[in-house]
Amino acid sequence: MANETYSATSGSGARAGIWAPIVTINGVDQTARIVGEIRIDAEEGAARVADLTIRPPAGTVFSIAGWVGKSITIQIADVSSGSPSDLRTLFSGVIDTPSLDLDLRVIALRCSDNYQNAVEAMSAAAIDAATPGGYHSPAVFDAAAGGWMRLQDRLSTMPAACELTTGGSLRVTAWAPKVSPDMEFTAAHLLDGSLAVSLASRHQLVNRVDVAFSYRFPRVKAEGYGLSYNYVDDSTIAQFVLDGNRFLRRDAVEAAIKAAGATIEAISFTDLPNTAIGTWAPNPDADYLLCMGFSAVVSFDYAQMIEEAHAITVRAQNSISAVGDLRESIAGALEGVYPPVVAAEQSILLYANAISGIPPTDTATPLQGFTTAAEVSLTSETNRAAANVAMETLIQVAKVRIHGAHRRNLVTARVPLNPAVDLDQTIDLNVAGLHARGKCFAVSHTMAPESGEAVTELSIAICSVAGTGVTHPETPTTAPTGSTPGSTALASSASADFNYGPTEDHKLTVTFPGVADVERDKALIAIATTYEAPLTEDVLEVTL
Amino acid sequence: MTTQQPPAGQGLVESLDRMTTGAGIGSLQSRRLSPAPTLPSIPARVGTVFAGQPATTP
Repeated sequence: MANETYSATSGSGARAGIWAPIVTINGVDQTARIVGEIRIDAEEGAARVADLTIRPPAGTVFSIAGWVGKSITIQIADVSSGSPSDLRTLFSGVIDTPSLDLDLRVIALRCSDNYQNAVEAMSAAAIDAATPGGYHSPAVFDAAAGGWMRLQDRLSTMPAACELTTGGSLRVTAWAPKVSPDMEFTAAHLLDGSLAVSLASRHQLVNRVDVAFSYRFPRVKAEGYGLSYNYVDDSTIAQFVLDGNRFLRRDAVEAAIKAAGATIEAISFTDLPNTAIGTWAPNPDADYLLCMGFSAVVSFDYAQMIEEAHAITVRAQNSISAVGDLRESIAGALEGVYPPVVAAEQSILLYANAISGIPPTDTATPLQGFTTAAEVSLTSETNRAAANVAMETLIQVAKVRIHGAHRRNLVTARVPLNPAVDLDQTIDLNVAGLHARGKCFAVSHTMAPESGEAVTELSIAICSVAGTGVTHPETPTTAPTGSTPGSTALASSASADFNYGPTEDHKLTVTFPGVADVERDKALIAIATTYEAPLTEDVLEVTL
Repeated sequence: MTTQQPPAGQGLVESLDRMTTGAGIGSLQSRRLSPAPTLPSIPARVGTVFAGQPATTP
């Protein structure tokens, strides 16, 4: 590979490197007025920051407006030929904070690449487009969060880092190193004694995240009761009449059922005989209003609150095996938006009994002998799909937390300033006793024109816990399967009683059992699932 | 009355923090459901009407 060195600082062949910085402020080359060291720092997820000091001409009148927010670029050039060539941009941004030293008459400039502001100006759609593969749920994150916060929300679901390039473009780089490194440094490249390893502490690791997610919503239900009742028949009707008993009116049957709060799904009546039987003689003008009994299918509608309690464990099992359980927990909740249960029940009842012409939003289909249930139409932000997205987002957050916690091992080295070293690079360090490969986590370029020293300090993040070669299989991020509406057989049956005797009150009473508590009370459904979080085992081989 | 002054250099530190930190701090907050209202139980449902009519003959 050729990009491990930059000829301006590493030289070419036997020739030593000759370099020069070029600092342009507000479009004007101010290189000659820069004093002391120029330092540029970049780190994953943060703004690129530059520090330098300028000595303005004597008598210059300082004004804040003349400095704050002015554009600044810092370049390095190869001047071995006598004129600048092979210019590389190390920093492009704006002056953030000028600091005055009145004794030395210099201005220290702290400059930023304006990362946060640039992101803050982006629309949510643009941020989503810039972070493909990220998750977002208004049930998990602040739905109103935009700009910088939205980007952080998206990134918390992605094993990736985001920052600006030196050209000012948003760049997202996966944490996982590329299969083939972009740069391979050996002892020939590194400055003597610059190699250092910083290992993460066990207490910084997270290898198990317990996600508690509650999802509450109503379901509509229907009971389907069959009710058959006969109080007289052809063989007994003659004596029935002789005894002075009363006949049952058909309209009274329907009225009694409705008075019980039921909805008649179907009803048929047992006709009185149409021929004379003993002392009984039919009366076609009146008998059609009466019956010897009836058979009806009726329904009752109500609703029930369902609360799914998802206990989702996201873990890296091989990490747990290696270092023990290191836990975190996060919790989420979503409640389905729907009219109050009582209002929904009344809507169904009023419509079913033709009291209201406004159809209910949802009803369950009754089935004789069973209690049936049906899902209701929730808002798009609170329905099952939204709950699934919320859970997937939380699972992904947990996976990323676990992955992020495992890549806090840093290997740091210094090389002659190399503009090609950047945060998107996969860097391989291979010297006697150490071989490491990982994504660049931080880089600092330092130029000291007075001493001629130009150095790049780079840190690579190493994800490692169980050892090189150990794999950490991943369970795909798919929401746990939720509950579904079911049907249960009715435990009791309905009854009817008609007081037809001549001295009785001639009332028909229909009785339907009460609703079992388990069908009506809030149903708490516990659902436990486990997901394996993926980790990479980056190369880290050290021989002492 | 005394006025507390920020330590020297604090402004610069805050400025640097604003530029370099803030990464990874999203809007995720733990949420839990508020208690659900208790729905009334539904006792046996009874309908009673006057329903008798004497037999009639033409």
